Amino acid sequence: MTITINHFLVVSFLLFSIGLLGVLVRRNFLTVLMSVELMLNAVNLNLIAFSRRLSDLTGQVFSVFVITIAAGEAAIGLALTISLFRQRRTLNVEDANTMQG
Amino acid sequence: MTPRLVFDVAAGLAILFACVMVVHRHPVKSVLALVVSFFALAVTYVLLAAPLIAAVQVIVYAGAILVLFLFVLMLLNVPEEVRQTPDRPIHQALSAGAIVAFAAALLASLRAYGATRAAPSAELPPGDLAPVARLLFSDHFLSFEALSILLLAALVGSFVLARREESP
Amino acid sequence: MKVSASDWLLLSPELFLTAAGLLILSISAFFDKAKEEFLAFLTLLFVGVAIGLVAFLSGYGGRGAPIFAGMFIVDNFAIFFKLLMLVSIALTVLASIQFVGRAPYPAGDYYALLLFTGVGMLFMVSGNNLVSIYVALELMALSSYILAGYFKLEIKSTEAALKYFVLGAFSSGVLLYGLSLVYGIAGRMGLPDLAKLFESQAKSNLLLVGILLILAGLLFKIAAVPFHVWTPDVYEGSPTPVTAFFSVGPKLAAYAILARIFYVGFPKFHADWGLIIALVSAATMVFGNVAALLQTNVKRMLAYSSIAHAGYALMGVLGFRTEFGLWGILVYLLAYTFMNFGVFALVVFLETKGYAAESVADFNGLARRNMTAAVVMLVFLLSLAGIPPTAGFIGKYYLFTSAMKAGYAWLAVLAVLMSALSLFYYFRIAAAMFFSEAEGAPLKSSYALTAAVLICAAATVIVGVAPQPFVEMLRACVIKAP
Repeated sequence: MTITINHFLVVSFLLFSIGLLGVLVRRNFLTVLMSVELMLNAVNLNLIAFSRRLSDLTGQVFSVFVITIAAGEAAIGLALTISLFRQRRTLNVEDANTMQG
Repeated sequence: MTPRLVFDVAAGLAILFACVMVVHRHPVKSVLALVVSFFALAVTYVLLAAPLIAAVQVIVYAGAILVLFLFVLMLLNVPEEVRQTPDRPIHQALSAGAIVAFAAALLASLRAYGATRAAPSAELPPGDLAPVARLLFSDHFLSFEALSILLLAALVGSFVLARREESP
Repeated sequence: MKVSASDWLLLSPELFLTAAGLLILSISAFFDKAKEEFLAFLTLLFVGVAIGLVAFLSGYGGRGAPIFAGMFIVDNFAIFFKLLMLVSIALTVLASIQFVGRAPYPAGDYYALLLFTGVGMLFMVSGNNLVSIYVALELMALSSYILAGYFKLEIKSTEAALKYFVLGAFSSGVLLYGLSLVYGIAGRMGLPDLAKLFESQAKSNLLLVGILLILAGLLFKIAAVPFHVWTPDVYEGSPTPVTAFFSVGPKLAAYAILARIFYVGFPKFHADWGLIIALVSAATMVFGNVAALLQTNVKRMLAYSSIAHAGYALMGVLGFRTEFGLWGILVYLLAYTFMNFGVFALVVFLETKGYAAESVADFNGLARRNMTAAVVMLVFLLSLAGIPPTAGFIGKYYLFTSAMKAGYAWLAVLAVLMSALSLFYYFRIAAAMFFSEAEGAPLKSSYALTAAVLICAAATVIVGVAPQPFVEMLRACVIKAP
């Protein structure tokens, strides 16, 4: 059996779903942050698989951009982590709830 | 090893360790699991004839971003998360339901999408960086420059947020 | 790809604003806390020059065609949004001077980040390719997360940034997945190319899923139901001038790209996305108004009120292929920018005077202590409720007409009912200002904040009393549906 493009798309989809689930159910801010990174990686896999299938390099260029943006996002997320931890001594998102929902 | 075997192992590892990352209560182990997952993803990029992205994935993601995560974890000395009972069952059931519905819709439409086409295509010489670079710095150079501002903003922002300030 | 001198000229507002941000950033090190006001005036000057550049481009003949390999377009639509967004940034600077000045944080970084957010917004509305639009969107989003958390010694501000960040990053992940699916089907990212390709192609389910995900990602940024959960917390926790900015600037940019992506890129599927947007619009205005009715915290009430207004505004996107097109939403956004910013600017005013401006009671007896502020607030509230002769009435009139013309009469009727409902909670603030007694000395405002509020009030009244010239001008700014 050869590898078809659909194999990659299914893997990407599974990774995206795992990331989605992580953002929705986990309460540790760092895990949420990592789940977002996982979602972005799933998108990259999608882009590169499509780029291969279409013989078009835009997908690869876009995925370079996505990686760069992910790096920026991680930097800000981690800075926020530090800021939160200094104030609350916790990374639990649900503890950070001084405003009435 | 056949490409098929490589793909199976890489994809399996990527998914398995992604699950470990989400489920594990210890943040440091979560990060390490994500590193493995991202390495495995880099292997699939090689299979897709995108060695540049594979290299960037290893260097930037596994090498820089996740090390930054580890660095912050060590700096803050975050304790292991206490296992709590889920206190919002409706919320969790709803999100699980939404994901299942999303999965059904997407997988159904994926089946219709070019299942017959095999991945390798002769038109893209594998490993050739020049066309990617040409596209990046010609058609997409405006976005490239916008990204440089984005990185600067992120740099300034993380400095602003993480800098220790004396309370007034 | 050839780039001519005229292309660089069309890019000049973005280039200038970037340079301004870098300059503010680098000279801010030489200003201590006491002299930081100078940085604010410098920022104001730069934004003014950028407004001048955009105004110059509005009369420039070379605009309208995509440039930079089809990535960037400066049409009338983009120019309208750029002017409005730059004005909102200028107003934010005016409202921030005193607020940031008395806080223990360096102001230089704040203004520089505000300018970078502005650069992202300007790039967004000129984006003509999904790649460049996405990158610009992230530039705007990342800078605004930092602004939300800028008052980092206040736990609420950090929490606001945290919530904004998690949901923002999540929504852009969803948006991005949608983009990747559309790319996989079409193999191209330029909006006109996409439309051309889909014209001759049958619908595929995967493509519809992709479009749906893109729509969901954008609705997050607009804060439409069911993607609104972040709004009240972020609006309550962020520094109030930043809240005022969030309720206007980034939303303008999100409406602009929503309209552009769906009008230029996916015109073929307008029956599908039109219906979804109509349903979301209905749910958003009902939820926003009912939730606002139940609030006692002013900032949260205004947050829900701006959710409700997002519901009204979405009606303006429905006029696809009618003679109205996007005309309704443009007129409405012109009114919305000034009235909504004005309302938040008055909350800033109370906060700088030591009132938390949290509960409606903080507005008690405002008429006795500062008549001007109370009257101006009344103008904004009337405008938000859509009472003539204010700008809000004109905006809503055009929105409702455009929904009617597009065949969504039920939505227009619902919107009228909801506007009537909104009178109740706007009236609560008005009643507190004029009919409640309260102790307290007269309140005086700083010049900068007064200027911001009066500009908003003047615009709200002028557009309301003499709408004709503005409305006619905006007619030329709509994107023509192919």
